[in-house]
Amino acid sequence: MNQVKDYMYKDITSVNETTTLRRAIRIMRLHRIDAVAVVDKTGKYAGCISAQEVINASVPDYIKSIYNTSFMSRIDQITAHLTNMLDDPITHLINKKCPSLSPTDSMAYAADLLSRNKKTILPVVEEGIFLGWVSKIDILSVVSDKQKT
Amino acid sequence: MILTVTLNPAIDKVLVLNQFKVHKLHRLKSSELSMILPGGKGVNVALTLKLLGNEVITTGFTGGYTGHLLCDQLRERGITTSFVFTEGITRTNTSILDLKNETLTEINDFGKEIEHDDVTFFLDNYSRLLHRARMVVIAGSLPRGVNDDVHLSMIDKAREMDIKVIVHTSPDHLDALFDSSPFIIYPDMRSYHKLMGQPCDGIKQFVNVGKEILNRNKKTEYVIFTHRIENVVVVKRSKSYILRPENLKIVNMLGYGDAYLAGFVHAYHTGKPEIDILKYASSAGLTNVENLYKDIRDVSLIDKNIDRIKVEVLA
Repeated sequence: MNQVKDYMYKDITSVNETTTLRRAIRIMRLHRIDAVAVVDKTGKYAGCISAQEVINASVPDYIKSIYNTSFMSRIDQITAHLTNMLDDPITHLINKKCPSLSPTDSMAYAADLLSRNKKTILPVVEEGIFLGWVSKIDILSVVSDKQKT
Repeated sequence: MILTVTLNPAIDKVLVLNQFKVHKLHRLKSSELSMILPGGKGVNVALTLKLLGNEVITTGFTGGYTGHLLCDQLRERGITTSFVFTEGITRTNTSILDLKNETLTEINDFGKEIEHDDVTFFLDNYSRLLHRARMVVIAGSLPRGVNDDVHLSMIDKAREMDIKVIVHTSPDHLDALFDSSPFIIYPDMRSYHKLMGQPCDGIKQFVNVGKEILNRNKKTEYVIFTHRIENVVVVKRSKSYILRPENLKIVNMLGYGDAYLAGFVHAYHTGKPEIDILKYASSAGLTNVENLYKDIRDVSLIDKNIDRIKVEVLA
């Protein structure tokens, strides 16, 4: 069985809930990854913050109520809102209920969980310790990578 | 988990040439070698520790395409990464080994400048990593923009959690460490012959300076000098050890000190008696210099070479 532990992306750079949004975005950008794990003071995994959640939060509430936002000719309306949040802690953006995988889960289960939750990436956690990530690309590599069995 | 810290890592470009000449265009032949490898002291230690079967996390500063290359290669070998990515790219260190003339030419680039904010975030991230570590190995130089006191912060944070720290760096950065008392102080004497403001080369001076360092660092247990491979000197408060390899055949000194350190850490965690830990570490160093590569490819040779290490104890 193809297990998560054999395919996960073992980078465990993390933030805590007082980290600024600016830093979280910087990590996602420079690490070329869609999410960052949040770890509490005792070293336990506490959730994650994803690029999608940041984008969702950057849209002002009054625009969210309009189904089609294509009328917005300028992206500035979104970025202006985001700019104001950059030096705030990420506390309210943390998804504490983000589904996670265990290292012994099968990659088939990982594919299913990613798909059901409409995610591009999921954290791997074991007994409260954050171990890495599984992304949709890792799912595809199960098929394409003949060396791993 | 063993946590290794490399504040100024590198990509090592290693060229093994039949003959190296200045003012000449070299087109590599099939009998020559060109390698691109993850590098920097803490990274080298991590690679050997992993090969010996230990779980390892590596951290430090990295950046750009060479930073991604470095991290990808480490993860491919099963090492967990947690580098802080910064703007700018990780440096490339070039080594040219000339087989005919038996010379090694090394050009180590200086690292990019690190911003203060990144140092702060590095220490935050380091504190979180400590929850998973049973030992910390800090090895190598400091990039520009990072002060010596980052070492002190790392040692203090580890001590609060009762985690042992080994520091392997050049004498330039050791003065700032005094009174911080890490578990082991292992000066990198490759380009230096002075330590604590006094000449430091040869067995007698290594022992004297080592004792002086121990007097100032009450919790430090070992001071190690491996620079002279024919006489590796390990200084303790009660006694000193001199370890000598027999029939040494040096092929490539690159990575020697890092292999020694990895051997020490590995043996220490297997619970061997002190003398066996020191012999294993010396054997790892010996095995490294007798192979062409900068790291040990066949770790079983370390056990085979142990009997070639002779020990003298000085009271």
